[in-house]
Amino acid sequence: MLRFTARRLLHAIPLLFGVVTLMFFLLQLAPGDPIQALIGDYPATPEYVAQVTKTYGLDEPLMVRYWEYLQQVFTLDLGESLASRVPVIDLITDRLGNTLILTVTAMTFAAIIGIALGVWAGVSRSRLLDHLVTGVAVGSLSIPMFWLGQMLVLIFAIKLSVLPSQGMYSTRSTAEGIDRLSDLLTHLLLPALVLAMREIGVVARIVRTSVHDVLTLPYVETARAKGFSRSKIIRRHVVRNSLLPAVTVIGYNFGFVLAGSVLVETVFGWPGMGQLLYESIRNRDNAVTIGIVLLIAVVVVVVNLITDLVYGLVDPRIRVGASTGGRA
Amino acid sequence: MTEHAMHTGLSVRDFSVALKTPGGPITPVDRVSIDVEPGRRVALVGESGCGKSMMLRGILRFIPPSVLDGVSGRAAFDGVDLAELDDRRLRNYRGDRIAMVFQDALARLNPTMPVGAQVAEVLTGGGRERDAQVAALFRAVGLDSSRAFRRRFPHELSGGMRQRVLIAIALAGDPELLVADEPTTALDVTVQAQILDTIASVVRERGMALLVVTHDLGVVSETCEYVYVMYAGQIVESGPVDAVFDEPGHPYTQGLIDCVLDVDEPGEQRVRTIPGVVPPPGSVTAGCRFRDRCPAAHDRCAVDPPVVELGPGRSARCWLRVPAETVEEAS
Repeated sequence: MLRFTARRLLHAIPLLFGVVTLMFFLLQLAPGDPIQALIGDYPATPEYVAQVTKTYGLDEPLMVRYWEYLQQVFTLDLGESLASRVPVIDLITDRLGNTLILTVTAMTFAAIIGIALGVWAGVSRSRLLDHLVTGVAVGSLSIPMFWLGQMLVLIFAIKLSVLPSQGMYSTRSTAEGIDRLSDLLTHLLLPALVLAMREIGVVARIVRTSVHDVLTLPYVETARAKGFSRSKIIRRHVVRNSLLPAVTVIGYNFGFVLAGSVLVETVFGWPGMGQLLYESIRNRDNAVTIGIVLLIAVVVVVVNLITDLVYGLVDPRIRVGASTGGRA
Repeated sequence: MTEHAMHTGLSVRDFSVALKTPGGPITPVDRVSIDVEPGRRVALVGESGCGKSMMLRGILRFIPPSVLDGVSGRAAFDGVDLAELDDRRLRNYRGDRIAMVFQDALARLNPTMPVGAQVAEVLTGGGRERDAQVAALFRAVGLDSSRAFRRRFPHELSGGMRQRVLIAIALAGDPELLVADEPTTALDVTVQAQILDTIASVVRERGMALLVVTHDLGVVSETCEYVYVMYAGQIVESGPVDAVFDEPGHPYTQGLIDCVLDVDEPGEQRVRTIPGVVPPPGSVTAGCRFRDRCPAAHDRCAVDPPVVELGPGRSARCWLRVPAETVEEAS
């Protein structure tokens, strides 16, 4: 298992190199000028612009800057933010935790609700219920996140005033311990739900199909021959065996959820990486943009690795490094 | 009369199974009658596709409603019509009174559950006592009863071991009747013999009745007392194993016996086959269903042959067994 992990991490290096390269050149193609963005809308003399450009090394040829940036990244130095003059790595680490709280919560919602809906629809002998759950799943896939987010803010924060609309903690809160946690949870609920919505649909549909398939497998008939009730068969023999495709989707879609958090964090004022990414793109703060995208790539690689290891927990046949068994 | 008052075992009368197909309903099992009395070992033989498994699945109600067009006739266990049981009472019969051993043990075991747990979940007790019971069952079917072995997963066992696990599962409910549906198909020949020995010995030791479906006549002669021969959805011959094998009453039975490798014969005569295949259920017409493949077919075979009593507990469905003068009278 250690060897498997090490090999997978080694394979990630060319991928990350590709991400850095692609981002670096794509951002050069993007319209707008970082220096102009930095100086703002004031009329600046050409001399001043040239001076600032030189300060940041932006007067160097593109390939030279690329080479220097690569060397920097290789030593885990992501450079400095143009806008705030703070090291990019500090900016990101401040925000990474917040984003992970949001995305992991969203994924947990997606897993629990999606699996529950999928199993429900899958075992249901009522066509109507099956179609209903499928319909809801397709609907959740189709609703744009920013729209749903704003609708929920309108309903729960503004009309009903039961949940906060913005941020991670109440602004003037001095709560400690458990109160601070519950403050966080009330702020977390809406954005996590919005972020989870798409994945709930994806997971529910996959699990439904999977449950349908497992129900026709011969070992389910064996369980029936044991004299078990339908609910016991589903509990003991169907649900777990239907989860493998859900694990795949949940793991591999973590990247989508991270990407989705850009929108959701912006809508809900959640102080995470997504919001930072959004601001960095607006400000043409390229070092921050590349840094965040690179970090997202790293997170995706790690989550995919964890996904592959979790497979083994769900299905012993593909347990990494497990014995392939004896024959007699 | 209470359910347990009659110890008559499995009694099937004029039992038919109809299935839905895109081309209309078919009847793969057509008015079949069999008996498996308590403690008796009975075989059901016939080629692939002749309806053996479908009959069992019909009797024990394993055919999904999406496929099943309907059953008719009566399939009773100790006097209770299985078709009339509600779900809860049917579950009390399955596993506890009638247990099944299927073919293709790999697909029949849950791949994500240790084999010991798959046996244990049939038992009602708990904790250490249950653990000991599982170990005893593993020993009874000739498996390593150690905890480490019981924690292995199906894919970590050989085909023969997996089949033994299935037998242990069937025994766990301490049933009165063990139904084995081609329990040795897809196993190595040497392993087949071992598995059959295991089934035969546990059935004898526990005084269970056995109904084994097979197309292997060697299995029948070694393990069973009574045999039913099935062809194209009908029972064509039945009788005590020795009597049927010594003097088959139906050309199909004769054909099956001839198919068995005879090492005393020289060269090419060792292997004989019955030409042709079993007619699929949708295609049967009036008359003897075997006549297209029968070496002794003649004009009368175009009419449905009667079931002729050949002796105590022996019968065959064939015109050849009808004395000539009665045929004259009939026509």
